[in-house]
Amino acid sequence: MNAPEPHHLTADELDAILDGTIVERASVHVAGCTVCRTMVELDRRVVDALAILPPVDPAPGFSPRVMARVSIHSPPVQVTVRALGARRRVVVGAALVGAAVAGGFAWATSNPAEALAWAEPALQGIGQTLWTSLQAAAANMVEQPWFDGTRDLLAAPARAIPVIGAAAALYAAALVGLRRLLAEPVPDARW
Amino acid sequence: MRTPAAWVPLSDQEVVRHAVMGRDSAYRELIRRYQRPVFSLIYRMVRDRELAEDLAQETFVKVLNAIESYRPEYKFSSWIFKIANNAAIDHLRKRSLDTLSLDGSPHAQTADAVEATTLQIGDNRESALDEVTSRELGAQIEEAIGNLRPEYRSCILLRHVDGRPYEEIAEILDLPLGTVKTYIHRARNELRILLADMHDE
Repeated sequence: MNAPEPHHLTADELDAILDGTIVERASVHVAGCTVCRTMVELDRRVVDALAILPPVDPAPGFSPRVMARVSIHSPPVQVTVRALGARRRVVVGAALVGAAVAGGFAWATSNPAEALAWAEPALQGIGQTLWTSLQAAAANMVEQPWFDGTRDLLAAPARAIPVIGAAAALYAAALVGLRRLLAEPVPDARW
Repeated sequence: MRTPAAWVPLSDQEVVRHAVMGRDSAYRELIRRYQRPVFSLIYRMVRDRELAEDLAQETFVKVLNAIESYRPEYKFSSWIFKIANNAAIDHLRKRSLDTLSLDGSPHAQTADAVEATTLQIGDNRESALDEVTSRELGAQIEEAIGNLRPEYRSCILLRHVDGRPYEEIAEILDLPLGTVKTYIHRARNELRILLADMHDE
């Protein structure tokens, strides 16, 4: 009767021995098998030699060379939760106002007589108030000490044009300044 | 501005997140972390310093210019090593095609150029590199690695030089886990034989 063939180490068992996670059957086998013991020793020498190979560095200036060819990614503008909430409130408010105006218009169209009866006194009152205010403002302006000077100035176009131009330039500069003051700060994305 | 030391405790995923937000110091940190292992891998694959430099640069440019497409469920190292390995393998395949041409380079413009690029039977460009000048094991093993098939070379370098787990190597090389184990096993066998031959010489 022939002796059974010895079961040499499998690749996984050899890996386990080399990794230090020794399988019991494998270690028992290696202790008694010269072929496998030699293979383990030789493989260990190879693995140890590979593990101590020194790392190789690229030439100095590698990083700047790479960075010179890289386009830094620009992130999309982030909308904060707060800004999103404010935007939503504005939209809802505008929708409500729009709905109210549309509803009122629809009601007035279907009930024109009633709508006029409601609107007439109100419109009269508003018109009266506006006219009175305008008269008061005009009377007030005429009483101002600078009124006569301004009237004389505006009577001569040659003098009025530079003054109006200067006033317009001042107004435009003030608008630009105000816009800058009210502009939201842009977050600096780079450290 | 973050100092280089301030990046150290951050994981690769976190550094990438900062890079995606447009912070160039995060880009530099990724280069700092990976320039050495990526360059080492490519250099040992192609065995030419200048070429390795070009391929490593291409790898980083490709990765960093596509940083927003990185998927954080995967390891960043797997991604960059995959691109580095593909760059090296592509080059080696191209070079082996050039070497096999018996009629000179297709790009040769003159008769002299055709002659200069015509394959000389028995001429093995790598054999010049194969001359063992040093008897140190490190030099011998570097040389032996150069004689392995490119696929074996990638596997053995990632496993036993970089210490990557089998699963990550399978991910990097797009190979089944069993194939990776087989390649590593065969590569070790070949290295064992090559080293034994060198000692016999």
